[in-house]
Amino acid sequence: MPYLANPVVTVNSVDLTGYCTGATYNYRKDSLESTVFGNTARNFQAGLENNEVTLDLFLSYGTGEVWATLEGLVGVSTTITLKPSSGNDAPTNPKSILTGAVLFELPVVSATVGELSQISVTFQGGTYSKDTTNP
Amino acid sequence: MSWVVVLPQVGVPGTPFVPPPGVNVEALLAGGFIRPASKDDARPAPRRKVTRKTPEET
Repeated sequence: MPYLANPVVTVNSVDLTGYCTGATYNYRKDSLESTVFGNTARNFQAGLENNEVTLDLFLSYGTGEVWATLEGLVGVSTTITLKPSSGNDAPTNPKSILTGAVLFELPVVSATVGELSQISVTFQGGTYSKDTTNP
Repeated sequence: MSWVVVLPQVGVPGTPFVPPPGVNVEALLAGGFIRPASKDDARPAPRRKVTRKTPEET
């Protein structure tokens, strides 16, 4: 059944839900082609995990806000969590965790006249896991 | 090494911060979200002095 998107987002353990307008977590594995002579169709097998989380955020420079959270994470490993809603972790509200992801690019200023400043950041790499039991 | 929560975005301020796996503690320290725990953090809060009123005062 469709649900109204209202996820909880943490980056490096900091709750950025109140600044986030979009979130996409792609759990992905590289596709390695294994087609050989004699095959009548292309064959693939899974390679390494190649995960990615993209967040759309309102940019703010206040204490404990978006800039303070992300500035120290450029080029270093961190953990991101995404959960469909604010309830306890459960099979119907699984918390997706990306451990060991790296942010390689952080917009310093993103400004358009008459609009709230927004940025889009992408964390790459890391290992996917899921928590359905802890609060 | 142990840390204490400073800002509510990472927990209840004043409580110990236990970093989840993979969390970058240096970035949290730099951003002012947490601070290193000091000896004072381990001490219990001072007890309030209880003064009882005499019957004449009531």
